[in-house]
Amino acid sequence: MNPQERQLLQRIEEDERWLAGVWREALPAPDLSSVKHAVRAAVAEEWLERGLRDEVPTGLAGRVKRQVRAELWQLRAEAAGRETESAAGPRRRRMNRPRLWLYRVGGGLAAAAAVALAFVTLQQPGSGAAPFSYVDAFDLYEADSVLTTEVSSIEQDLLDLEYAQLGFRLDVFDAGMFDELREAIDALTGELPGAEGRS
Amino acid sequence: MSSPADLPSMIRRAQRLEPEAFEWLVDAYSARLYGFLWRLTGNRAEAEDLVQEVFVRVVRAIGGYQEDGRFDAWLFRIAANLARDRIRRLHRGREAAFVDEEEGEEPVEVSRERAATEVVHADPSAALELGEDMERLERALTTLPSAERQVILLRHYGNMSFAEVAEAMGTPLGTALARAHRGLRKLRSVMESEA
Repeated sequence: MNPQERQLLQRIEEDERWLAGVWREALPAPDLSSVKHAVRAAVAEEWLERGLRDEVPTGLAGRVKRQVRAELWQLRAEAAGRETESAAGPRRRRMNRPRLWLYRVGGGLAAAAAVALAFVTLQQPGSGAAPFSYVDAFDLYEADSVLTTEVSSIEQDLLDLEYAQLGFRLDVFDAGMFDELREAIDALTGELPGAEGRS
Repeated sequence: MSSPADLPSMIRRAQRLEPEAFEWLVDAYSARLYGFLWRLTGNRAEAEDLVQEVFVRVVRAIGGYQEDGRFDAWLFRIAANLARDRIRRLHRGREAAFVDEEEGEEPVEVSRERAATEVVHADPSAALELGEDMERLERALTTLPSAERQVILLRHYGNMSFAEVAEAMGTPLGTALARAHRGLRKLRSVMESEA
């Protein structure tokens, strides 16, 4: 800080002391429940992003996405068929929504990673393909959500898979569910080929 | 109850994405952030939205935060950046609307000034919760150019040094000091003339 700035600061500090004498407000608070709700949703999303960033293999070509989408669509269609059969029973036991979401997204993750990994194995080495990032992985989930929504006309429960709805469901997400989610992802990623080499 | 002594451990826990740590941060900072954003935008609904957005950004960015005892400055820098973007968008919207009107030949600078004033007065119920002095201060703050108001608000709510304010606003230190000096002089003059 040069001498002029120091001099200016002295004058400012005097004015700030005056202002502090005037500024006596009772700070209002916003609606914290909606803030906390949004934060919980953001924590879950960030948690998943970190998981994907750390665990999903890199080096995938962008064009693999179409193949993965097709694969996911097939898996979802099969899942919808199974759900429909199950729903035909006398009293189908409903899973709670976060758990259902957890298993389905977990299944999607495993499927996407397995297909992606298989593709990488075929393409390497030196395919010159663009790197595949965790953002790409989320694109897949977005695409998966759209496909899932189409399939959901068969079985309403599949709407739970729609990733965009995650935030609305987290009101029933407690700390225990975060632990379960963590364990499920750990288990899934642990099963992937080559998982031992990744931290 | 949130205690400042808990902050470093809460930051570490938040970096591990523990939801309770974020709840703690929301409890500890939302009132100050809300006050800052309300005074800066002049609109309660905008301020509430922005508080939420700030914390969502915190969740995404806290992994890269290096604890150096200046968490407040880091947090308010996020808030100031988000508010600046939001105000710019609001101003752009207003300016577009003005051009559509018949008096669309009004100089852009005048439109900007008018838009800023309208944004600041957008919430008439806001003044009800303030005492008489605070009401006058509120009014006086609205007469300041946005940059001068922001420096004063960052100092008051964010407990930021002038170096940090300058960094947050992307200006040299001398500019931040000059804005604070001019803003405070004007505030004092308006307040004392009304007393």
